[in-house]
Amino acid sequence: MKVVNFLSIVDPQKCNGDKRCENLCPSGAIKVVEKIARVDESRCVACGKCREVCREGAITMVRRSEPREIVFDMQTVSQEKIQALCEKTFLLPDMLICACTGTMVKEVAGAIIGGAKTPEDIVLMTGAGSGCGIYCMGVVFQLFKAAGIVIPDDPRWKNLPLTPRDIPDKIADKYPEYYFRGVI
Amino acid sequence: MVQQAVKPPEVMPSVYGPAPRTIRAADLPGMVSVGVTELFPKIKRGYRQGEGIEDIHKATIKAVSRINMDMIKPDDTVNILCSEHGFYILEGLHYREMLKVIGDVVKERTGCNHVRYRVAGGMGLKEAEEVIEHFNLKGYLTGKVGSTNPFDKEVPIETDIGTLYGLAKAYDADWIIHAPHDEPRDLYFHRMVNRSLKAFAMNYARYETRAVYHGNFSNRSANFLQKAIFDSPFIQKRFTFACILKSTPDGILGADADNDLYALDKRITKDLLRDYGKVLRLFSEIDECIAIWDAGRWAYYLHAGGIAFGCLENAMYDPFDLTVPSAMGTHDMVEKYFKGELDKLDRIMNLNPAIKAVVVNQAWPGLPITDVPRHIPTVVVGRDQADMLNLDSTNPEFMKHAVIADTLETAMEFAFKVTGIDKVIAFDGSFGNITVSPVMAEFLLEKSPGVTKQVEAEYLPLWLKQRGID
Repeated sequence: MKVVNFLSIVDPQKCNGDKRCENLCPSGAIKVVEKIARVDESRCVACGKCREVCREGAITMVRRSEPREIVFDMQTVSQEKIQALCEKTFLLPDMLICACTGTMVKEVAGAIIGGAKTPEDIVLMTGAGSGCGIYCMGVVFQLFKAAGIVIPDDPRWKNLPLTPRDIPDKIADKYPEYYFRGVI
Repeated sequence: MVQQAVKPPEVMPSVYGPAPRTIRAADLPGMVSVGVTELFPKIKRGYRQGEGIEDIHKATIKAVSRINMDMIKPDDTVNILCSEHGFYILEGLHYREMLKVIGDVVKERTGCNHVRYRVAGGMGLKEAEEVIEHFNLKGYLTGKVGSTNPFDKEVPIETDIGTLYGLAKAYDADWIIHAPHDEPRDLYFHRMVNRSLKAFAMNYARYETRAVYHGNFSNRSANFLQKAIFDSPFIQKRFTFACILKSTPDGILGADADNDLYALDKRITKDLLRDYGKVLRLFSEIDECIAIWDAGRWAYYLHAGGIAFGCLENAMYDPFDLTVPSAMGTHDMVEKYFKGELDKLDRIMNLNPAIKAVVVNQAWPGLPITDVPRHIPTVVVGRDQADMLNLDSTNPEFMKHAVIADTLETAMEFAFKVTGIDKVIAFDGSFGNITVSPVMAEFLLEKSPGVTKQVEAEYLPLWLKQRGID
């Protein structure tokens, strides 16, 4: 669950429409229209990447008048399906997946069962990936792969679900000191 | 043996942190410094901030003098790959000097004028640019200087374990020179396995590769990723040599270089296990403390006697012992869960129970660390810093659990009252000294001889054997 307290706003006088913000926004909240970046408030997760990447200093973060909660309602999907998807990935449902937002594996699994098709959907449905946007994404890719969902190409992500179980036996056997098998 | 508190390295101003504090932990009444070489006399004396720049210049010339550069032709392009972390060791000038010498010598010996520097950032998108400006790299280094960050355009790298993604800007040259530092930082992750190669899976890698390293693999198997990337034809056809800034917990030692990165890594590994291993084991002896964050980086990477705070946070494990499945709580708890020893997984990672309170005089937000205030009494100094934490998307709940004090002094008063203890250790960026309270100084001095004996007789032979080093 993530409480979004802030919101990106664009100064149109400073914006040069270079799309650096759009190409980085994990929730698809910022789009350049007629050479000016525009923010969809309902999608902004206040990760701040747009502000950071903007060379013109055109973006600031302001406090929302009402905080927005991002929480996936676990009751909307089958618990058995969540459990099954987690087992398929050898991930435990209660494991933390996103240290920034406190999102757990079962929440992302639930979102995928509930219709998420891309990492952007995961950000919007669970909050995972709305912080640093780095550490959780490998596990997100794993869960998509286990669900049989092929993530569409996008400049914002390269699908990389690699785990120790994907390491070929000949490599695992050659390098036992890396513990690819058993208790990793 | 205990001296007046030594002035710590200055903090570089950054958009990622609060304005550098004028009152540091070392300025608190009664704080003292205990020298690393007082604790461990066999550790070599290193250069501190403001010392030995000319010696590093000479050491780098000597180190690269034995390097074969015949593969570089005058019309080729060369990228010297550097890590922005190197600029935060002490005050960064030793690292800058090493980089300058590498570029100058390459140009002189090969006649190549297309030598560029690529400064790679850690988490933030402006880090590398800040470093370039602060250290005047475009003026000081003779060669074009550019930055790259984990969200920049990728380049696919085919490896024995599949496609991994590097940063296109790091590799857009005929040749690369790997120019990192050996300061071990988060050794609870890399565990001194392929340490000298780590940047290939981190600083020079796009975020997806970094995510796989941290999240999909354990911290024993993850260190294969940098090996897989380094061994790939993509890297091997570009790699020329590595030159590494060498350190001990006492400071900067010099530079070492080799065309054979694995040979260099063995030398570095041996030295680091011997020296950093002692201070690390000493930190594991600390039974209770108030930790002060007081430098200009993310909290995990703030140093005390050359050891980063993250290492104290995980000090109840021996991360160098590779028979331990994981030095990180996450995986350790998974194992216990499967054995039926835990009913459920706690979301908390490793938090050393010896840390009784944390005082945040200054540190960068931007890396998730909210488990600290969630489980340990935490005082943040200054409204400006609290505001930054409130805005921080990686720690959106930090300030829900922490309290604010106007000054470092009042923050310490709070910490003393809450904990009832007087053992204080400051992570203020120091190498060579540990800034502590007198009681903590006595404790460390009392424990260090036993730690030395134990490391030399038991731990070090085990650690080296596990890594195939004589």
